[in-house]
Amino acid sequence: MNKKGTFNRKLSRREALKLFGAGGLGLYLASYVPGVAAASAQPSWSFPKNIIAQPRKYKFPAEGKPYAGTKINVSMVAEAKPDALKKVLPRFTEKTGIEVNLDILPYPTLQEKQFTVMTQQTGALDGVHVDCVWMGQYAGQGWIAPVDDLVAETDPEYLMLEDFHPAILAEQCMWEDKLYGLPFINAIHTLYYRTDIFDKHGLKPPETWEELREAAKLITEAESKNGVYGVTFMGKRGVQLLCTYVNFLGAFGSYFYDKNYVATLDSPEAIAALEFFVSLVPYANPGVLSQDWDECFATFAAGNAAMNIQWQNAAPGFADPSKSKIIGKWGITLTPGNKLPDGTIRRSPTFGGWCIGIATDSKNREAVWELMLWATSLEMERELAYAMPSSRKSVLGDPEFQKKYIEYETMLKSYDYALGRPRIPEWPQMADLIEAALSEAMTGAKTPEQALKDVNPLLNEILMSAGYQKA
Amino acid sequence: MTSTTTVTAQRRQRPLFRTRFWAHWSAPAIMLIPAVVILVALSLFPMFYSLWLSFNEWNLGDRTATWRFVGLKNFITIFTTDPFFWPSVRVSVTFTGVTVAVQTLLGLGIALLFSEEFRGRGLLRTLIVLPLMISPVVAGLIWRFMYNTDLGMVNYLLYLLGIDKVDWLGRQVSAMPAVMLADIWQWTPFVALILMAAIQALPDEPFEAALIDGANRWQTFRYLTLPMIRPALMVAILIRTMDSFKIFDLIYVLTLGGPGVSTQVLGLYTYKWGFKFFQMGYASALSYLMIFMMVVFANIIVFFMRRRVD
Repeated sequence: MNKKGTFNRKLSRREALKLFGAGGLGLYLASYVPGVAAASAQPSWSFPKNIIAQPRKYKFPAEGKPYAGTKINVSMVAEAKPDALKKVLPRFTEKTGIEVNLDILPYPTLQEKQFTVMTQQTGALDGVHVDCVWMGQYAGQGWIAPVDDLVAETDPEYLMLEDFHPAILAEQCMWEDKLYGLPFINAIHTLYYRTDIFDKHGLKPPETWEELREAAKLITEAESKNGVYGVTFMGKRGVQLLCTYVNFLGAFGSYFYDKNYVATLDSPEAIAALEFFVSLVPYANPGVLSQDWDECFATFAAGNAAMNIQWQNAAPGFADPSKSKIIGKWGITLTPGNKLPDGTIRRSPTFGGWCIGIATDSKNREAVWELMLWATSLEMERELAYAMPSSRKSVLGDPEFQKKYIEYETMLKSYDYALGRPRIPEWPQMADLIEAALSEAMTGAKTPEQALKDVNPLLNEILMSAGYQKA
Repeated sequence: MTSTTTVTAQRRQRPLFRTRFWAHWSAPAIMLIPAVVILVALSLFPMFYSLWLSFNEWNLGDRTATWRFVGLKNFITIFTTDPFFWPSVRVSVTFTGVTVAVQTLLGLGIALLFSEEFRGRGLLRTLIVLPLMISPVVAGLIWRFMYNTDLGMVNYLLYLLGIDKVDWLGRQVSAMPAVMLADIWQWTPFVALILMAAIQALPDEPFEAALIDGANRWQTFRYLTLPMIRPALMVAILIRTMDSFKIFDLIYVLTLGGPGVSTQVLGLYTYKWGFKFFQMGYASALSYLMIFMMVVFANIIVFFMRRRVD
């Protein structure tokens, strides 16, 4: 029998003969005769599906175990989803024969570890977990390679690329119109609020920043003697402070630089955004300016704040009785915005998230792709949802999941407004300067205006020397 | 031809390893080889490598970039346009000055206390060196938790005294003292330990003579103990100065240089250029300036150490 024929290769001669005997061949051939085929548009009988297999057009996900025995090194950030993935990896190894050495590191040291390994150009690292703001450094400078060729060879019904939220794909996995990986961990800033406290004071979840400040003020004045403050957020110098500021920056109508790469943090809008942000400090818990993710989480989970501007990834913790004292007493909604003259509200919830990419120097591209496909497949996205939300629309929009994970609905809505941070390779350097400036303003060492006016020329200097600006 | 044969003959008579030189030096040389190899590989080579690197521009992130010689450009940039170099130096010097001074005074006090006989001295002496045994990162995490505004031990104790909550690590005025306190807590025992050993090793005779001459305790301390433990004291100060000046871990864990740049020490700033911005040449130049400053400080201390001993 022809190897490339329609028949399954495993079909034995005897079985084939039985089929022919049943007249199958006759029908089959007849179906090619135009008249007959039209007459039997709805055949009452067809080949059993397990006997006739479609010709295999796609290389991925691979059948058999072509990459069995391959060992790949993958580096990921220490968050719930990679941990959950690590637990189910034995199943992947069983299925494909690929051995995965998954190295999970905390965020502050992850990049230097990845970079120092990758820059040796030895292929010691195969899969890398890339923070969206590192895209310029990784994809833009060629440390990870596009995956377009792999996508083309992959069964679209398994990959379902269009099922990933387009905003997530664009922010986390694309660089200059090319796809560099698949999303794994997606995050967006949201507003948590205490339903019981809001009910008590007859408040509604704030739609605008102004409303948020008023609510925070009212609650602080009424409840601070009980140790409950109006709002809490991540105010410690660092990346989280910067991320929190983006919620204000975009809503007030500004950004870090304009389309000509001229820094705009000295614009009236950016200054107003920071002035507003600073004005929340009196209505926040006393320790707000030394809070990173953990401390901020603890404050809200302990019931010490009525509102929390935070990544959506805190939600599972707030619902976990072993970590939270506010079970059933909180809600989640979009980050507030500013009302425009036409009545719409301009919001800019901060975008974050990660992509798994393949190192350019990796010698096991196909094996890494197999892992990426498997880890981000619909099946696994649903399974790992207990750890962190999926990036797929079908999971985020699934009513069953939305009931179980109350942040899903807000996340889906937020992505329409989501505002990412710059992703140019120079961003980490600029971010460090901005973080210091924000921290100076928050702690009162400088006025918001002074802090931003001091940092803006430094940003321009970086953008200029990197060649983005025309002199 | 002839001469070669002669040399070969001579060699045969007195092989290399039988020469008098080798007879004398072979054993020490073999024993030194591991130390020399390690020193060259881990100290000297990186030192010269990074010295050369500091005159180059090298962006680790740029896949195609190689080292580009730029002469003194990195140093000139640091001294003229870098907005954070001098503030970082100031922070580092302040941090070093205060912590070393306090640690020396406290350490000296503790050492004097422990040179007296009293019940439970052995136990207390063990307890007091405990902070030394904790890794600085762990110590930093412990302090970070103690300084936590809402859940921390420090604010709880203040609360018992009726004092309001203070955001120790989040405010400009308190962040630096808070970090210093953590460092002092950890390294005072080190100074105390060195001085305790020095005091215990002092001869009895001068003190007996002083007793007979009617010197009071202060005079005994000022004119006998202090001059005699001076070398040990100077060594302790020297080591602590060098350690304090290059502090990184504690600050990294506690404040990450914030709030603003109020605790951004030179070590942290250099680290950022190297492993956050990946500008290796610039980072090397910064670290060389750091070494240079450290050498200057160390030499000043050594100068004082020598002067009095002579």
